[in-house]
Amino acid sequence: MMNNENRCMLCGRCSAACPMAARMDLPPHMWVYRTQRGDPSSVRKADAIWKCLSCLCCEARCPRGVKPAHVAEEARAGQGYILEDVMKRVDENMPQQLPVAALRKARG
Amino acid sequence: MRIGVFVCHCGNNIKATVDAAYITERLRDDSSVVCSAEFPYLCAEGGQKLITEAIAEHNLTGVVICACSPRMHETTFRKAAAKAGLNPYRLEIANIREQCAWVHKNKEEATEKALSLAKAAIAKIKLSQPLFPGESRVTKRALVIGGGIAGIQAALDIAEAGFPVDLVEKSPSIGGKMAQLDKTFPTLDCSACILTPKMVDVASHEKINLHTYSEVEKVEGFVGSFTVTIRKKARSVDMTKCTGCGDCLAACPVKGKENRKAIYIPYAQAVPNVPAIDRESCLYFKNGKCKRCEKACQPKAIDFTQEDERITEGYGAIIAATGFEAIRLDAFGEYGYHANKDVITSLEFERIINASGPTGGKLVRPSDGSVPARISFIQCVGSRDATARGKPYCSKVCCMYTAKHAISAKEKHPEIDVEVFYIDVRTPGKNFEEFYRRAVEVYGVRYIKGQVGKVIGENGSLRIQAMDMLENGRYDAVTDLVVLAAAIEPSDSAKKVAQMLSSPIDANGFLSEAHPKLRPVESATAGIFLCGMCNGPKDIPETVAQASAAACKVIGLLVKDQLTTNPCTAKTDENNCSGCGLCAEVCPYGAVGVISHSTAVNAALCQGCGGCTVACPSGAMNLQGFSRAQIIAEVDALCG
Ligand SMILES: Cc1cc2nc3c(=O)[nH]c(=O)nc-3n(C[C@H](O)[C@H](O)[C@H](O)COP(=O)(O)OP(=O)(O)OC[C@H]3O[C@@H](n4cnc5c(N)ncnc54)[C@H](O)[C@@H]3O)c2cc1C
Ligand code: SF4
Ligand code: SF4
Repeated sequence: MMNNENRCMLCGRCSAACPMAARMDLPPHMWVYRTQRGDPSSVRKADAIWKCLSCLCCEARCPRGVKPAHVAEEARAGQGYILEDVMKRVDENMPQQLPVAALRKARG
Repeated sequence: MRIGVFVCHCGNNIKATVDAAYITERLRDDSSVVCSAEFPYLCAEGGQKLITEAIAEHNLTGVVICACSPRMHETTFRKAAAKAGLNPYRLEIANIREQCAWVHKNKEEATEKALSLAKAAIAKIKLSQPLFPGESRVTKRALVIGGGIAGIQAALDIAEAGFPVDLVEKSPSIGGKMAQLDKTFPTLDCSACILTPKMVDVASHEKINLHTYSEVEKVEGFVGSFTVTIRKKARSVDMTKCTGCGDCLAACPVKGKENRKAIYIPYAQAVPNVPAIDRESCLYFKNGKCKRCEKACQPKAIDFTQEDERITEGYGAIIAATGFEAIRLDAFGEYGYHANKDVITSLEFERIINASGPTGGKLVRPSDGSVPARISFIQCVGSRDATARGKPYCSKVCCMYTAKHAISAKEKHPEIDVEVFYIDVRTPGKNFEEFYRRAVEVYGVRYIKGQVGKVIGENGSLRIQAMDMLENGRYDAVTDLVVLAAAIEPSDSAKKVAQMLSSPIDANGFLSEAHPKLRPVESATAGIFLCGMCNGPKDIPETVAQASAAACKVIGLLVKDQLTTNPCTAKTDENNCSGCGLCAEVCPYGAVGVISHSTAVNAALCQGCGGCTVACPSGAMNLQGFSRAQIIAEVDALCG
């Protein structure tokens, strides 16, 4: 399904489920909300996207099929922290955590 | 043939996208068309006058109306034609609104298409025959399926009008979910107090024949004349002998769910007040030993040899009122419903605070019987959930019953800390908003905008992990009792019932009304009516209103002695029929019979679906009003 942020009804279940939300400066539902409001740059600036574990718990709980973790992934990618060769190796079957962990390390 | 064509503008609905003047003009090219006219609203009085006058003035033998779907106004226009002396089946409708104006943006293309559809209708009308509706008798008896408040109200209203009603309820007692409720929003009157009198009325009404512990097994026939087989399940108790004393219940050694014995009466005010033996948990039926209830029963009402009984009865109309269930929570593991005794559903909470429930109305935790210091209600569990595990719709009653539960808890123990997790609080309804505000303002219930992500059992308490969306921060807490407002869904037998009644269901399994606004209690199948939760989420006042409306429709039908039947039924051309019987095999209504070397259609049973005409290899079967020749002429006109 397309990650349509407009489907979000701001229930907060993603943030309530996220194991890292308590330590984030911007909780997962806000990534969706800001994107919905046409302000993805503020998501990029948030430290939270580097706290995300890519466990996808938020996506499993979301009643509307929105994918907050993917918003974070896009935000990370959006600021050029893509290691070309890592991303090239990303395939469907690879656990999400792998490239994320690699990116996080690359950032230092 | 002398044909008149009338093109409707439907205000701007059609005119904005279809060039009405152009098609009115062009259709005159057909030599059979002797008059053609356009009009702003053909369905209005002026429009109908235009048609009837033209029929008389031009001596028309056929009429083509270019307007909206025949589902909207076919009857209107056919009545007008009949008034002017034209056989109403000599009138055809070309649907240039739904099929042209509303689905196209390009005016030129839409106009061309409208012209083609009109030409097809003209081709069809040229081959039309005058048809004459028949008559069928109305059986003056109604059937109501489901004995919740919906079925109870409908049965009472029909019976009060003087018609006999059979009420079929699958469980041992009528009452449905309302009989399990403690109090009812927004007035907080006791549910049993307002329901029980109605239940007693049903049982004692001379016009109502109650079949509890029974299910409908087969439905045949058509509006005015249904034949229904009802299976009365073996209760193992002779209803004519039982006095309802309850001695058997005391004697039964089995303890099942909610402390229910193997022989049981669902609740104290059950109607009828006659127990049933659950053969799955009864020791005698399991191991052949026990029979303690039999020994205890003075009037000798226990009958282990009882068997299912089938009765067949005729009805003129049927109401479906099969109600609802709460969804199962297996897929919602994060709330820990199965893992923790103190995580319960709202219906279970209703039982706990109910004086006739398992705790005698004491608000205590299922795990240890203690009064909870804190209760957390979670709304929208599975509602408004567009994923595979939930329901995309709003269950409608949860906001209100959660406010009711919060108030009830505070009434019983003002010291309990009560909180409600919500996404939106929806309170449209008379005195609903005031009721919810009372929970907040008078009772001090804490409403938190946000949802719970996880519930974990911990040292006899429950840890919840939630979001406070207005604080934009996490709200994690330790609580004692979690109550889940589980989404509602149609009763599991609704689909089976709908199939038997040939009554359509929607994507969520609710029985569909014929029109969402204008025919809210009728099914698309004639003679079948709906009310209550089986049709969609609704509260008791709405359910009762709908039930009375359905009853009113049924009464309107039963007062008639005869119904006119649709003449558009199948008919065999005996000269071409080889008697192969393929038509009889495909007919879903059992309307075709094979007789010696040919077949015959029972016009009363035929619904005019046309399946047989397609199956017939020799082209001997024709649907009147939609003959093969007519359909081919339409196709030729469209392709020409
Ligand atoms: C926790 C909770 C609290 C509520 N509180 C309130 C409140 O305070 N106020 C309010 O207005 N509303 C309340 N409601 C809503 C209310 O319960 C419903 O509006 C009402 O019960 C609907 O009545 P019904 O007859 O349509 O369905 P039901 O009550 O479900 O009755 C349907 C009946 O049909 C029977 N049945 C099902 N299938 C068949 C079959 N195939 N053959 C024969 N019989 C069949 C069932 O056994 C049942 O007896 C509450 C709902 C819930 C879940
Ligand atoms: S994927 Fe990231 S944002 Fe989503 S729940 Fe896991 S850690 Fe939280
Ligand atoms: S769980 Fe889904 S709908 Fe709810 S706030 Fe998060 S993204 Fe929006």
